[in-house]
Amino acid sequence: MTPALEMVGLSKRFGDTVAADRVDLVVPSGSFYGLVGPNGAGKTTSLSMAVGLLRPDTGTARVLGLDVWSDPERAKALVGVLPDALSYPERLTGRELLTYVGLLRGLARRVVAERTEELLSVLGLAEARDNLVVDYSTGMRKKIGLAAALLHAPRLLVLDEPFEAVDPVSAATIRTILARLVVSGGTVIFSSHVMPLVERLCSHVAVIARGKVLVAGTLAEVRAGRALDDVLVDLLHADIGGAEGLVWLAS
Amino acid sequence: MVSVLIRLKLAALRHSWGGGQSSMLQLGAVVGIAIAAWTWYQVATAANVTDAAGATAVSFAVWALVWVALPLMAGSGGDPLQPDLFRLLPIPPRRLAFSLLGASAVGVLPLVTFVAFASLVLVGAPLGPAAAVVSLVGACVSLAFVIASSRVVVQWMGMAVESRLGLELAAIQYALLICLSFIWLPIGVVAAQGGTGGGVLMSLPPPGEVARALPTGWSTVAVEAAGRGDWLLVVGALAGLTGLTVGIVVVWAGLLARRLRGESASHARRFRPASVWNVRRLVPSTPLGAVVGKELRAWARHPRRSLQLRVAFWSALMLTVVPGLFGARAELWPWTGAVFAVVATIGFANVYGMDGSSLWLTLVTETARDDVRGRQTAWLVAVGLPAVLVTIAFTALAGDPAAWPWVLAVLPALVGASTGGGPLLAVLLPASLPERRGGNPLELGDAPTTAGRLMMQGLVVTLLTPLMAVPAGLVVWLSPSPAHWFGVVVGLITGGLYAWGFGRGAAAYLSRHGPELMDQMRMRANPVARASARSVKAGAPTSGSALAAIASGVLATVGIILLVPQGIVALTFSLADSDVKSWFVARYLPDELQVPASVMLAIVGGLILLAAWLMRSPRAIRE
Repeated sequence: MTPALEMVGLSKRFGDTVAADRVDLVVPSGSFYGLVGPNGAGKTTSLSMAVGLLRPDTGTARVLGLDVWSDPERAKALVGVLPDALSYPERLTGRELLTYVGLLRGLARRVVAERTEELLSVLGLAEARDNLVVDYSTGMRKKIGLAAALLHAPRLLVLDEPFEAVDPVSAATIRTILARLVVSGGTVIFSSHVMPLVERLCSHVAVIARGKVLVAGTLAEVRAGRALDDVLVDLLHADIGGAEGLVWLAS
Repeated sequence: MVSVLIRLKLAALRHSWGGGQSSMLQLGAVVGIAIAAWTWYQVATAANVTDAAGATAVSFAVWALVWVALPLMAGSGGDPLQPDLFRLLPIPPRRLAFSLLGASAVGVLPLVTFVAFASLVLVGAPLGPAAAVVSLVGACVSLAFVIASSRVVVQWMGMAVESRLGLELAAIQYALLICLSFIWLPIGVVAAQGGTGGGVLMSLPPPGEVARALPTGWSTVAVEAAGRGDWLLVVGALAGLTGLTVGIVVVWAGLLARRLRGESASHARRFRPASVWNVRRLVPSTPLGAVVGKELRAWARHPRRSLQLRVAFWSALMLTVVPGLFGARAELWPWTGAVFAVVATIGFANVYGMDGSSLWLTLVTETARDDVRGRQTAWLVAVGLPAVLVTIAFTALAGDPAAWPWVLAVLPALVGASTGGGPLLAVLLPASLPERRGGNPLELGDAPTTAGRLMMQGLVVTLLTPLMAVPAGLVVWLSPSPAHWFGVVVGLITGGLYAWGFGRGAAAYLSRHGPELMDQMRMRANPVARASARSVKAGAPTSGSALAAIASGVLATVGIILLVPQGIVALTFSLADSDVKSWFVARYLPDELQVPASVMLAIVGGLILLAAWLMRSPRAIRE
């Protein structure tokens, strides 16, 4: 079966910093894929290149077999994207934003209106729907972004830190939505720092550090019977600091 | 604490001076030094002490204007010490305000300003040692005064635009600044007409007298008084200026305290129109319609955007309607709509930069063409239509039927050039303006390039948009009546071509280079991307790019010389019928050729400046 997403030798260099170094990753259709790694590992860079927001120096990405960089129109129609730390048309209300995105996606006005109301109420944004996005909290911005990504019922969801700053109830809602999408044959790939969350949700996981994929596979393969946290620390050859020095902090 | 802040500022200055973004800073320094030298030259060549003192008073006022205008036009002018940095530190606002003021005195602009202000010593020294000391003290206090004024105005404006009344007041102040740079136009027309308006102009007191009365002139007054031995006036003038400065800083501290607590200046309801137009009924349910709706809402709701439209409105009022009341109504009023359209275009030329990284939505939906066309459509509704209506109304009121073919030919060309050129410039030369929640909506962040690009956009728009109407205007001018009505057809056709063609160019650029444009938008929002981009630029430059940098520096200098002194200043002298020839090339030509020659020099200078800028284009960031 065609993989939902393939990253093929994606590289990106910012000056002396190699943000992504020949990233190869195959995300099987129907998988719930977690992308983990320390800060600055290249997760956002890789995901941005995979969805056409950042031009790779070399390599390419394919969505269900369609090349994102040579056949962008068809490839991008299949993907829903939640970026991290990018802005929205800030002076639209939540409802107006979703309407705008839905129409940009070519949906009919009636369909957009129905889905907008449904998404707003499921994600707990019904009360804030007539407030401007610029006044939303960080967690609400994540949720409205997720709603915008889901609107056109994409086959593949690419989410950058979808659970960051989201309250526990909303996080549970989002988990349920994503799990349903996967059960119905869709594919989700998301980045996260929270290992227990990845262990709980994902069928597959990849560890990225310093722009390289260190290990990738099914959750069971990567964990090999250990906690994901420990696997990560081992892979990075990291020493857990904090036990020495800082005497003044306790005085 | 002042010393800590000054060290912080110096460190930031060092980084931006050495890095690739420094060209604008250096350019600014060169321009500033040129103006400072001009100040010295004026004072040194004055016929007598009174004239020299008058010249310093006038130049101090001009410098104060620069200090207030520059950060308003260009945001905080690249000051890395934003008050928000200190939000979480337990520092009393008044202490913070005085410390920030101290740190503000360190930098390129303050240094250049001080050099210019030191020209006061030329006035004081011949009057005796006491007057020399007074002049030095006066220069320092004046510097503190202009810095404090600049800070308080920026702070207040930023907070004020959140409320409806404040937005209007801010717009009027911006418009005043724009008008001050173009006011010679209507004054020239009115003066040439004579009549009551001309009489009013002639009866105005000389500029030196007016300038002495302003706070910026008080140090000059003190120096002159010291020369006469009038010590009461010396102390009074200096104490007055010092007291005023301290008062301003205290007001600033108050504003700062409110800002750090997260309140806006006005306690009136926040400016937030619910739904100005019921857009849904008017626009089709397509991607294009979605963009039109979003844009119309943005022009109505976003403080920065609605400010831009109001500035255009007030500029048109001040440049044509009000002077028209004093005479030359028939010459000035028909152009009200045209002025509105051109000034508003300055904002449209940064329409992508104003939206920042929300461009990602256009990229992931592959709707570049709809995006450009939608923005253009909304622009025609929000600005083109009002411009046409205003033009018709004021041309009718002006009461000169001869004006009709002119405005009906020129306006369509201008509106078309604005509609097409705006988005094209916006994708080619974007100045990304981040929207920080809770921050000052007029704040530009800390990159000198942003300020430089905004000025560049303003320059290109004000110089090139009128040029686009030349074909239509020429047809009206050169054709005998009634064939001159053919100019209207030319205006409509050229305008349509500009809107369609430039828009097509913008859409093509956006769909081909969308991710690269996105990089520039992200740059401002994301400090990591910014840091990495900086490291790109700090990387060893190839010999080619070093050569390009030198060439662009030389070009920029030549362009500024042609544009400002040889073009605009010479034109002003010609229009004012002054005898000054000095080094102004155009002034040595026969009378009837002086004005066209100055205009040509200004345009050529502007184009060279543009070329210099394009040589240092964003491509350098990517490669």
